[in-house]
Amino acid sequence: MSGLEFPDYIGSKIYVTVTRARMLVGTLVATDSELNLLLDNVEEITADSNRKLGLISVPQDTIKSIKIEAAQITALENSKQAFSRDIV
Amino acid sequence: MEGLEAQLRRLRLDKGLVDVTSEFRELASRMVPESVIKAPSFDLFEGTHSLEIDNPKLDSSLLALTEKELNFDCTKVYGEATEQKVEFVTAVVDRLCRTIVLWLNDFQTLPTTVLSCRYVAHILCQFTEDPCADLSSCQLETGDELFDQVLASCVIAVCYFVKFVQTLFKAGVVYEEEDLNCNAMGLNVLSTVQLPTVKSHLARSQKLLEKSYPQAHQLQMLLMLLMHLVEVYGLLPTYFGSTSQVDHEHTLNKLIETSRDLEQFPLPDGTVYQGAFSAVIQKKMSNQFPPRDIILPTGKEYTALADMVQDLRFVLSVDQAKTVTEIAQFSRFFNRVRPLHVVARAFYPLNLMRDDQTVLAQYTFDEYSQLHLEEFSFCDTELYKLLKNEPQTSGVKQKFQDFLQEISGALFEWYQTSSQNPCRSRQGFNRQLLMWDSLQAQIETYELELESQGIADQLEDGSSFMPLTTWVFYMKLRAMLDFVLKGFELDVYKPWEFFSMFWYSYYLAQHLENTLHRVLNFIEARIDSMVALNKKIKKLKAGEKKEKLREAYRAGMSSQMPVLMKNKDFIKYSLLDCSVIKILSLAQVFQFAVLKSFGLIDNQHPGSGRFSSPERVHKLRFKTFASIGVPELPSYGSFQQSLQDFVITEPMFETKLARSLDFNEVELSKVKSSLQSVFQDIEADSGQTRARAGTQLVQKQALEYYQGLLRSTDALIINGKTLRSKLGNRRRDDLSTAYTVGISRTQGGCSYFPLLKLDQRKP
Repeated sequence: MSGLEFPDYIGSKIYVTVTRARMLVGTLVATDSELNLLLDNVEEITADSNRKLGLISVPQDTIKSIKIEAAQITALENSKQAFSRDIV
Repeated sequence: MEGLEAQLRRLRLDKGLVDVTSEFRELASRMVPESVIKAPSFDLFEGTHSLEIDNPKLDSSLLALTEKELNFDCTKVYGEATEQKVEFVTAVVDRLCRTIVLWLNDFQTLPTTVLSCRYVAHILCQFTEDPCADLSSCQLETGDELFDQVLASCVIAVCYFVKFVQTLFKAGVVYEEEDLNCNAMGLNVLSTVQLPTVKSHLARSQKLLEKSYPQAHQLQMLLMLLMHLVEVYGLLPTYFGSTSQVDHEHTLNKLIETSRDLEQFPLPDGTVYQGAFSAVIQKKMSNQFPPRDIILPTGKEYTALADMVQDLRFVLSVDQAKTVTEIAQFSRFFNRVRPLHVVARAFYPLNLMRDDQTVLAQYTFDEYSQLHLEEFSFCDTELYKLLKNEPQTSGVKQKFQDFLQEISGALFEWYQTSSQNPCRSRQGFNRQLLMWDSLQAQIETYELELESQGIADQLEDGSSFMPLTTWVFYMKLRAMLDFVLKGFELDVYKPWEFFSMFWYSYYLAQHLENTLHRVLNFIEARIDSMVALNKKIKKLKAGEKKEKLREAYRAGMSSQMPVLMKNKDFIKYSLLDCSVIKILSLAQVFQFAVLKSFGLIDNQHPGSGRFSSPERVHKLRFKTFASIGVPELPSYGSFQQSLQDFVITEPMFETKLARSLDFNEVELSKVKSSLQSVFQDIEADSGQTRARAGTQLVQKQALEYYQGLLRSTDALIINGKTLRSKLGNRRRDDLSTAYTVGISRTQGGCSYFPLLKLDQRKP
């Protein structure tokens, strides 16, 4: 995750575990300095179901953990490095 | 948490994920406080529509369900003895039928009404997974035929009615959320199932009830209701080929009858079917909406259902129209005073202008458009006569056919507008203005070309008649007037705008009146000429020429003359109708001017100031009309000058005021007499001898509309008298400290003419 900034993560698929044993899987479209998240195309996964919820705002105090696919991080890092090389 | 982890393992989401929580917290802490990072394409305004986790008003996962709801099982039989089972199924079906009305009448959503029924959700989930057209996937599988056959039948029937409404909704006449909520939570509402399949499912249930449950009277009646309700699907024009008008009448009458019969039964005790109606679907299924309470029946649902069916039956009666004028008049009045049920409104244009490119399966669109022209200004014109003998391939005829297609497009818009909710209807009239305007410009060029070829009609004063352009202009003026006046109905205008809008309405009505007079003159001249032909024939000596003329006379008398006579009657009625609107608009202008004369109101926006000017605000209000070619929008200066002309000034203020108010009263009394003539025309229509107003099928609705205008006329007269007594005779500057000007609506009056009334200023 070296060198990645917040704007780099925008548009990424993230996995947010929230209260009431739920995981929200969606695309990060916005965040603020409090780490309130706005996710789009969200799928809610619980112990006995998964369903689609659309555009969801996740207050920071409901967040238990945020995860991201390792492959996605690698892709972000690679694209950032390639971008930096082009600038040089 | 263990359950979630197990689920993640099942979904293979437990591997390959990197925890970035602390990384994200660190990155967020480095952001400028209150700043936001967002995707470039994402509009933060959209974010206001997001659903917030853990907010009870927005998070449907937080919906609390009772033990009964959680344990409810659609594959289980409820009730032990037969009587209990019947009681349970009857109560569920009764509530289900009521939810249809709750959904449609109270702007409720499907998940809070029909889809709140666990059986509906269960069957539709099965069907969505396996959409078998033979309904084989729609099973309850309790092992009890009352549930598996009868209850399943009823659920399927209700779903099929939802499908009918969805089909109407897709036609785009009514709008999501404004008129109706059709969100079915992504469930497939029997899309592949045909009506006969549902009917035979219901027929099997009926047989079973008759044979095995003869004591279940209410359930039998409910089943009967649903059998008729699904048949409503047959009203869709796509089904018209297989069913007749008589069948429709029978179905709708039976539906009304059965609804009335069911009114006698009280609301069942909700404890009978606890858990069968629940918010569970909102909590468990994909859901992009905030949680909502499920809607409970009030006991009036069957009466409301009968009313809905009556509205449907009413809009179907347009099939009985014998002329295009009758259809047009039906469209003008059917939804005017009392808005019809949303299902009837959605159904009307679909039934009228059909997918097979016909109107009521009686006329092609082109024929219908041509009849519109003929029943107004086109009959017995030179072009009309020429086209009768012209081959299909002729240039004149082909160009005329092209115009008929253009006219069909504009008419389609006009008819659709008549069915929409008042806001959309005004928007529809707005959209039509440019259509009619552009059509007028094209058709005028065509008629000028024809004139250069000698195909022309002249009025008695030698001016050119141009029948096609005249009709388009007439339609445009009507759309313009409706657009302007609907603004009053919808409270779009503030009191200070009343002068401009009513003066413009008066201006448009004046143009309309002139147009109608031109048409009347032309028709009367054609009738006179035809009558004169007979005298001419009598004077001629026997011979070939006499025979030819006699033949022409006979043909004219049998085909053109009846149309011309009808058109003449209709134009005379339209002139009365137009003069009513014109004088009422003028009376409003007068009353505004009187109030301005006392310094109580002005036509300038009170907020006009540094960043705008009264002229700019005025131009913004009239922007829609600025691009209309004819009638040209008067300049801002003309509006101002006209107001100055109406405002009463010294010297002889007292005399001028009295004269103005007296004149107004006299004009309004003329409106009353015009309205009496309109009433006679409408009432004469029922005799069918000469349908003057063409309102036979909407007589009650048309009378209601004109009675509203009569009440508004009386209200304007009384308002004039009130102004006279409150304001006195002499110009005073202190009245604005005593009064403010407000808007009042006359009870039962026409919504196009609210009043400017004086309110005592509060200390």
